[in-house]
Amino acid sequence: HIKTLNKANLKESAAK
Amino acid sequence: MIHKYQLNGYNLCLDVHSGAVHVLDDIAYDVLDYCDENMKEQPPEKMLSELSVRYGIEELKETYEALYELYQAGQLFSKDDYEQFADLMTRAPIKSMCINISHDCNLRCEYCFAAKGDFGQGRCLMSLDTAKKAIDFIIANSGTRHNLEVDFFGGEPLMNFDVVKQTVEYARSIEKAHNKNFRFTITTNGLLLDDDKIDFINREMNNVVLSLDGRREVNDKLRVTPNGKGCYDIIVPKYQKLVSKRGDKDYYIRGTFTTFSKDFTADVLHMKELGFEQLSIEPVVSDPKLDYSIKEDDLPTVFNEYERLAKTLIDMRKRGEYFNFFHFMIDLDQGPCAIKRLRGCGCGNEYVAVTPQGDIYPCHQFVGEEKFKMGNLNDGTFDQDMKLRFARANVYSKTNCKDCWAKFYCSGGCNANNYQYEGDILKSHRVGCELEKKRLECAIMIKAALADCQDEQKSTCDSDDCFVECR
Repeated sequence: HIKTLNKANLKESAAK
Repeated sequence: MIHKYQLNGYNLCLDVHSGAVHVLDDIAYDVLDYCDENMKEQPPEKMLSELSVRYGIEELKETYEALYELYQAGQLFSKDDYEQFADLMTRAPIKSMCINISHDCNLRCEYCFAAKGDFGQGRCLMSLDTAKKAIDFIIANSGTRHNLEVDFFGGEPLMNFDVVKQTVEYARSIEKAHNKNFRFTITTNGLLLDDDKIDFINREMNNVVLSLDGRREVNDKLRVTPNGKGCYDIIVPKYQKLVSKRGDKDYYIRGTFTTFSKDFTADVLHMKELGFEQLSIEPVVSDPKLDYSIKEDDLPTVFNEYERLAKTLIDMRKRGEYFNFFHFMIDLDQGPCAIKRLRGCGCGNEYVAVTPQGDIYPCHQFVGEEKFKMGNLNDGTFDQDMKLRFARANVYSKTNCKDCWAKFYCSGGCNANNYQYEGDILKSHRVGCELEKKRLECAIMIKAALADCQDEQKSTCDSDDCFVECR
C-alpha cells in the first residue's frame, strides 16, 4: 500500500 | 510530525523530521489517521472498528503493519532532535554578498521593492573603490570558506557595467592568493544588453537572472520605462540571444506575478514558447494596501494556479517537453543538509548586501531600512550583535515555525518579508507561508507523478528507445 519516494537522510546530514 | 495531503489523485505523506516522502493508497491514507508518535505493534481497535465498514479486517491489519514498519525504521513520526543543532547556531563566516552596484534604474516598475531603483536613497552608482572594498570585506570575513558568491544587483547593474567588469577582474586577480573561488551572478532588466555585455556575462557569470513577467501585455503593464512605455519588445530578443549563446551555464527568466496576473501559468508557458527553459515567477512583495498586491483573499485563486502549473509541467514532461520552474525544484534525495535548512538563506549572517555608499545591510530587501544598517565599508564598522541576532533567527526561534510541517523546506521564510509585513523578523508572514506550503505540496506531488511516469514506462516498454526521461 505504500511507495516511498526517497532515501531519507536528513538526520544523517545534521551530523555531517 | 507528518503532513498528509491529497493532490492530483495522489495521497501523499511527508515525514517531517526524516524527510521521507510516501505515496499511499486509499486504505493506507485512511489508516494513517489512527497513527501517531506512539505507534504500537498491534493495530488500534478503534481503527479496525471504524474502518471495517470500508475495508476488510485483514487488509487493515496488513496496512497497519506496513505503516508500523516505517515507524520502526524512523521514516514515519520520526522524532524532532534538531533543536540541539539550532541552539548551536552562532555567527558563521560571510560567504555571499549582494553588491548594489547601481542605485539607479532605466525602468520604473510599479511594484519595485527598490523604490523604482534607488531604494529611497537617491540615484547613484557605486564607485570602483567601494566595490573593491566590498570584495576585500567578503574575503576578510569569510573564514575558511572557499566558495564565495557575489550577486550584482540594483537598480539596474548594466547602468554601471564598467565597474561590474573591473570588480570581477579585481576579484579574479586576488582570489587564488586567498584560496577563494568567486561565483558571480547578475540580475538585469535587459534593456542595455548588447553583444559585448552578453559575451562578458556568459563568460564570467555563473548565473544570470533576466527579468520578464511573461506575456507582453502582462510585462508591459507594470514594467515600464520612465516615459511609461513597455519594454517587452526590446528585451525579449536580447534574452533569446544571451541564452542561445550561454551553453549549459545557469540562467533564469524571472518574473513577478501580481493580483492582475494570477493566471501566471500562461506566463510560464509563454516563456517556454519563447525558447526559455529555466523559469521563475514569484509573488509580488508589497504593501497590502497597493492595488496590485497579493492579499489573503487571493490565496485560493493562486493555489489553484499553482496546481494548474504543476499538472501542466507533468503533462509536458510526459510528452518529452521540458521546462524547469524554480519554486517546484526539490531534491528529495540529496537536498541541503539539515544545518543549511536550519540556517535558511543566511540573511544578515552568511549573506549581506552593500550599497553604493558602502553601507552594509542584512540582505537586498533590507536596504534602506536604517534600523537594520549593519555598518559601512568606508569606516570599517560592522555590527556583530546584529549578525548574531540574525544567526539565531532559525525555525526553532521563529513564531509558528517550530511546529510547521514545512520548516525544513522554507527554513523559516524570508526575514525581510516577516519584518515588512509583521514588524518582526521572527514573526512569520502568513500569506508568504501559505504560498510556500502550496508550492511545496505541488513540488512533492510532481515527484510522485514523475516517479509513476517512470514506473509506467518501465512496465509498458521493453525497449530503451521509447523511454522519455521524466526528470
